Amino acid sequence: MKKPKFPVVSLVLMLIYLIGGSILCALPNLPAIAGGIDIAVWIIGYVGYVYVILACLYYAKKGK
Amino acid sequence: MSATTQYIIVIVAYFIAMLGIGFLFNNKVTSDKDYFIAKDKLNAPAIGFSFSATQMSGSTYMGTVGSIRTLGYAFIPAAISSAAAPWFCYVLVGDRIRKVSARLKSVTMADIFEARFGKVAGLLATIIMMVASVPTIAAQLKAAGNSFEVLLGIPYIAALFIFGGIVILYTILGGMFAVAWTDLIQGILMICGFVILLPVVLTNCGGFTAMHEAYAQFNPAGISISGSQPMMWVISGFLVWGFFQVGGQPAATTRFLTTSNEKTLKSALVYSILFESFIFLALAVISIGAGVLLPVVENSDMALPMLIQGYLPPIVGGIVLAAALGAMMSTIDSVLLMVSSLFVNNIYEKYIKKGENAKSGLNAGRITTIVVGVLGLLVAINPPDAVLWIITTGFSLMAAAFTFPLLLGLWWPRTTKAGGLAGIVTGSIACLAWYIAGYVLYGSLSKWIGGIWPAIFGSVISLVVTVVVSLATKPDSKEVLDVFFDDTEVEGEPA
Repeated sequence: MKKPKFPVVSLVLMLIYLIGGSILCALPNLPAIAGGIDIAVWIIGYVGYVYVILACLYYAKKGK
Repeated sequence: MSATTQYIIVIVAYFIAMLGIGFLFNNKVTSDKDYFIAKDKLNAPAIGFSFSATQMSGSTYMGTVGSIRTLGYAFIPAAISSAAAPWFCYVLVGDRIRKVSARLKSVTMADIFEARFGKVAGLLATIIMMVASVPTIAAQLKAAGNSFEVLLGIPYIAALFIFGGIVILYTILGGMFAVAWTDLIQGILMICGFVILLPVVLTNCGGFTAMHEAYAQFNPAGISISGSQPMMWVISGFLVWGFFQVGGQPAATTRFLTTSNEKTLKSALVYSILFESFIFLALAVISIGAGVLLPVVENSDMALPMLIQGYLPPIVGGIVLAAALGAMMSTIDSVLLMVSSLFVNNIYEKYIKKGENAKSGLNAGRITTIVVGVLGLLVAINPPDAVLWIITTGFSLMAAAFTFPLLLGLWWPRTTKAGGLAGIVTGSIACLAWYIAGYVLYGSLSKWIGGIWPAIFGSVISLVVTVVVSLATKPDSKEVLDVFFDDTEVEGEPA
């Protein structure tokens, strides 16, 4: 019998996303840095999508 | 030719195309299994787009645009979280469900719950999914009816029955084939819609930076994530809309039952995540722009139709409207199919007419689809106001009931039948109790104690109870554990 392998790398990436994202959500009164928005908005609202896409591509390729 | 006529031409062409797909696939549906899951007959793009188009709905196009316009970037964590939902679902449960369902020959998610946690759990899961999903159909129909009224001047009730009738018809004709392929086309249309609308909004706002400077005047608190809403509300949305789709969206996760091929499922994930990421990223910009271009809006759900009407030429606006309608249709058809499959497979064939053949099951499936669709139409005739909040209540209930029992049931052999059943029951009750507590204290179903979403509260209770009860009860039999924890590919699967 072959036991299922938990995708540990993906789980770590998910935890970074969830914890890091939650911390960013909680930061108050950040100054605007570019485009009229602050760093938390940039990371969560725009750059974060790149992180998620790359994480999915990694799982699709490696299954981990 | 008037603007209304041009909108109608585009939308009629779109409806004809969707019905055409239903007729095209009608001959392929020869059994109830074909009708409900088209097992191993869908490719990766169809599965991927169908998963995501089901998850995104009228609430994405109408409700989320309205919410971001009003609340600003406080809603953005929920948006990216929604886009990340395929990541959580495919990785945490997708491949496990694929393997287990191939072994069990499952047709519904309730089959998975029954096989793991017993008949009572399976029946309870069936009932919760059915009850929580019917309002989703009504909410999507409401969104469509409102759009038709605003843009085309078609009376709300007439619009409901035209739109609802078309979705019901192509679903009963082509089953999962029609649902998945219309979802794919609707997904492409959704991409096209935002590709058209995004630069128009940015240009009319004077560019990205000017748009944000103007938005800061319209809604100063909304220009940052932490400005306009309590911190826990924002973080709850960030956690709920992604991770909790694992249990909260069975109409979407049913796609994991449609293929027994590992490569197909992983490719489907890539299609899903690229599609959703583009949609939510574009949607965020469009919504902030809506705040600048439409400072006064009576009903926030109408922000997108008003943008279409005010800033796009009619033929082009018709395409964007068709895209929005596609989002609603893609959710309705999947939920219709899921609810009818649950009734036929998990109630009718198990308890009412045992041992029915494939053709009888198919007929029962089609009849149930019509009944559920009509029920949704009747509810939509006089529904509550905000589309988004109707859907979130049902979603929260399913997320709280199913997320951790499903995860633990698929990954932790020590989860027992009693633990899983207890987790489903307590998660549901805790979620509903949290909604009621919020209503008693604040007079609203969308305000909660400490800003904590009922889905989170209910899920935490479900997790604790599932673990505690599992550890306190005898481990499950080897037969159950072999089905769920032997990761060998089922004999006969494609490579």
